[in-house]
Amino acid sequence: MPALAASAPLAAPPRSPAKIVWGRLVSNPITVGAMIVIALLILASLLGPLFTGYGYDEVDESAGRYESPSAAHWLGTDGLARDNLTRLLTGGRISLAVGFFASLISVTIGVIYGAVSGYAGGWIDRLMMRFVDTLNAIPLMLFVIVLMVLFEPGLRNIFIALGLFYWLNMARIVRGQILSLKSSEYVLAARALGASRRRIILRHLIPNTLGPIIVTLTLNIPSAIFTEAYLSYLGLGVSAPMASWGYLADEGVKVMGRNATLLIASASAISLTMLAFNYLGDALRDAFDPRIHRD
Amino acid sequence: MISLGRLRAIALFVLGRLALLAGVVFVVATTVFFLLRFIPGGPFNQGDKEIPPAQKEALLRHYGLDRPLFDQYLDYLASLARLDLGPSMTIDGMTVNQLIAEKFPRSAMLGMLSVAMALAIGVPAGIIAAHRRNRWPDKVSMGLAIAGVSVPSFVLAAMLLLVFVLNLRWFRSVGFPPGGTLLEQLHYMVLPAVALTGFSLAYITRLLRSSMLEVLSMDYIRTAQAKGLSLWTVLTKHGLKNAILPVLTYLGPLIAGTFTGSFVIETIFAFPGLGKYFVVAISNRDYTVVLGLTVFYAAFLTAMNMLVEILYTLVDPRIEVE
Repeated sequence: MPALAASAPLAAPPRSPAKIVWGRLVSNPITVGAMIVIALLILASLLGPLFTGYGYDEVDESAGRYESPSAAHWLGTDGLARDNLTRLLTGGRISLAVGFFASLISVTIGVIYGAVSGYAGGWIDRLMMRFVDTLNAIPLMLFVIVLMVLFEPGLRNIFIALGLFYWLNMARIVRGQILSLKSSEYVLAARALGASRRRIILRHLIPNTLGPIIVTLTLNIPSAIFTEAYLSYLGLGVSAPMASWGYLADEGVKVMGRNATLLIASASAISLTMLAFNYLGDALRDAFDPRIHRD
Repeated sequence: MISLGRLRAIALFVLGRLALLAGVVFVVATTVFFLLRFIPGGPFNQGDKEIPPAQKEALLRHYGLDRPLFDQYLDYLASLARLDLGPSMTIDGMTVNQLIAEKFPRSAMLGMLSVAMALAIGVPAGIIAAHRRNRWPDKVSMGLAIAGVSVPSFVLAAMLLLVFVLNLRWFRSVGFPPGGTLLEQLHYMVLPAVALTGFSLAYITRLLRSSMLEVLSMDYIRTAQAKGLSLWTVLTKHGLKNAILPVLTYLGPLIAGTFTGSFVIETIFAFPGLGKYFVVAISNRDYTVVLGLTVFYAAFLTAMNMLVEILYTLVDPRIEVE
């Protein structure tokens, strides 16, 4: 039929959802900036310590303690005459690793828990959500502190402690999504057409929940970094001579009367990272939201 | 006005929620009771100085710690039912009830100041940002809001200390005069309250902006404008009243969190509140204090959430309490 053939070139070329989201992301200069900042932070933490010429626990005999920034020590030295810049960059490895791994663990738990609760429905759902509500009424910091006291403070245990207790939000979000999608027309249609439960979950439910999952994952990273910093601040984080950003901020507060460089530098690093991830998370939320873009 | 039937519904709702509160307190008390006993150490073998064995045994007997764990648990539940949180195990002659009565009002005062500031600035900022969408007031307040949620409270606290106490010397020092006049006390509360406010202020601004945007696109807003109502009336009576619900939801956990005190803020500013005591009690293995404070927090949070739900029905008559 010639009429149909003629109209075909007019239709927009099919684009995958991932491409659409990516296109929306890179069209915003602030989002691109946030992505560049995150990439730079990761690169600087991974490679930076190799180029500063000092070790993170190396005492520079030729330098004084609490030195102000100089050509040899760009961010000065700390109370043991160690190079602040090297310690800051090495600390970035720890803080960023905690951010990624802790949120990965918590997201995995949260997605599974939320999906099961939402898909099962009925009394199983009510029971599972009551459990989440109750956990929510206990300050999570208590669990984390108890766990950190129970285990030896150390990097791996921080991943576990944070991951084990910060999945509540994710579980709620995923459950809500699954619950509303379960009764949507297209799932009903798929069911009516005889699609198996497996196919419905894998092809229809999970892909349509991916947006909120990715957004929550992105926003969980800064909050994990914050919690790790907070724990280090309480002396429950990584142990000396290793130092995360939170640990360095704590050190910086103690010595700020003599030299505030360390405090300002570590505080800026934490805030910059959280800022970049928050911007990216926000942009992802907008990019995934079809209501904002009706073009 | 509120009808009699609605009052009855609210009364039934409160009764139901009180039952829920009792349930939450029970589960929290049970979980935390056994959780605490998992941590190695006890209240009388902490710190440097060794307590003589005979004395330690007497102490354990005094606090009932020598009895079987399950009996201790039942005892605790029984005293909890009488609203008695028991004696502190590390502060001499102090009960947990006294501790809360002394320290909670201070933390709550700080929290109240902080929540008041967050609402007083956040609500107008959210309205203006939504009204002037994509113009400079929106961009400025959203930029500040995203910065506000990105700066951790302890970083903000340290920076405030560095700038206003050490460098500018606008504020003399840190601490808190318990016997001082309200004005003197306020002087010591300003900086910690500001440090506490950063996040919630930014969060309220963002929440309100997005819900205002949704409300302002509704047809009845256009109708109100077409009727010739003033901008103020349209924004507050028609806009804000319908957009405030998400902020109310956030207010429950926010009040529970800030009124019970933040450990880091209270430590940095040497503020003798409840939050500071919580972490100290964990490292001292002061079982009754940790347990009591957690139960108090859980009950307070549940009560605040209940209050918020009642507020809902007053703001939006379409919502029924169940």
